[in-house]
Amino acid sequence: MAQRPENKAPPQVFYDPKEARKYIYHTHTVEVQTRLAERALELLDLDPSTLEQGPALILDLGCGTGLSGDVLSRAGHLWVGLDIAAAMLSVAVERDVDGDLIQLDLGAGLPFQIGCFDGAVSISVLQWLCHADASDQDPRKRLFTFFMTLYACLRRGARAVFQFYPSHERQVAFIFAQAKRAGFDGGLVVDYPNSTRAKKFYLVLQAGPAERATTMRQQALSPAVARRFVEPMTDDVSEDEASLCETRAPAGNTAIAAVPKNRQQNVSRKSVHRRVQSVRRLIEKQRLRRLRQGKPVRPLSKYSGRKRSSHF
Amino acid sequence: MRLLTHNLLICPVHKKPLAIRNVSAVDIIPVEYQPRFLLRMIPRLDWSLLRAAAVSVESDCVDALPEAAPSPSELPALEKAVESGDRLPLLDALQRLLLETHVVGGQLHCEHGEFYVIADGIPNLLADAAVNPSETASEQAACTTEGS
Repeated sequence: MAQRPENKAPPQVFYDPKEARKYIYHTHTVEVQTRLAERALELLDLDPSTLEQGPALILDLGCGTGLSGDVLSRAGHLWVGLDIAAAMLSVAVERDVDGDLIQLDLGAGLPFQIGCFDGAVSISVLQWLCHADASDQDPRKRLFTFFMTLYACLRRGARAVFQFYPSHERQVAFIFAQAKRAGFDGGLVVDYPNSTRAKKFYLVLQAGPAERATTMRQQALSPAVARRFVEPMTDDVSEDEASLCETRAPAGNTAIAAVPKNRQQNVSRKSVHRRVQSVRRLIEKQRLRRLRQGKPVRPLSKYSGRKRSSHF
Repeated sequence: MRLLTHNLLICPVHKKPLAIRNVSAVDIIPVEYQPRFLLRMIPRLDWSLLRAAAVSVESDCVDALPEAAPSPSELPALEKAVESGDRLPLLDALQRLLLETHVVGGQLHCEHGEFYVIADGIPNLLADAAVNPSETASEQAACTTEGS
């Protein structure tokens, strides 16, 4: 598997002019980014009463060259894009995007007044914040500062949708723990869970209780995109979250959530194996010590360090 | 950067509003008239900051802006006027200032002294891009004393 870009270099270094060009000329990259942004906007589920009063003001966290911003503009919204990479922003200026652009480090917090945005979207950014690029950077603190300032500058009940590429399950839990500490509620939406390539993770967070009743739209998706499921992240799922975490697959497709269960079993079997190994190592050490001391020892066999089966 | 974004922005270090100074270029890009959006934005705006920004970009709409923001009790009347299709001078001025006026070059000054540069319409708010005149002055002073 190719090396993940966030393991190569910090974002402001990795996204150099050459890399930024890809976001104009590579049709596939542009297509994927646009599709992700469309789905994120759909998950944002903006308040219809707000939409009656003109466009919404949306934050684009890690806007890059403004591909996701174009989707927001097309939907008639106003947006403010934030990014750390100067090369990506200059391409966005070249492309003449509609939104405002600001160069800043998301991990240092968002410098905005309280409660001024109607929502936030972020495409393929969150995984970059899980890395420390300097010795004085602590990803845990940076993520918490980011989520805390984001919570402050969103209106109450507004949503933030993050599409991201987690490297493993613990990273998802890590990110979610920081979001929860900052006061967010929400869950993880996984599109195409059975496909390795098309599988996409969306973290859907809600800043405080909604002023309106949550009306999560349950529209059926076309059969081609039917295999989606939603994995609740919290143990204590409140009613609000329950509606947030409802399965969005159309009726008839009930085969959901089977994949992660299997994976969990795999993980637990692996960890059991590791535990047995460490017990064996300990027994081996004790056996050698007793041998050196000239004490009687039993010979080592494949049964050493194993538990007796329960029906003995 | 639109003046709307500027109005919502605060200093990343001191969390205080930023003043626009030394403006070198301003762009005016007409967009669709959004009276309802502007009405919705009025309670979220820092009115004195908006007036100061309008003066610093030398906008011709400064005179159309009242001294103080419309109070919450005035908003329903404004809403009614918008719904009946009237074009209010206040909303025209806000449309021009908040949505159509872009600061392309200039500086954002915090009241604590440091400032951030706006280039190509993009303000650079990175921590290491902040220019602190007092620090640079003291550094220069240190250099000169070392030199002598």
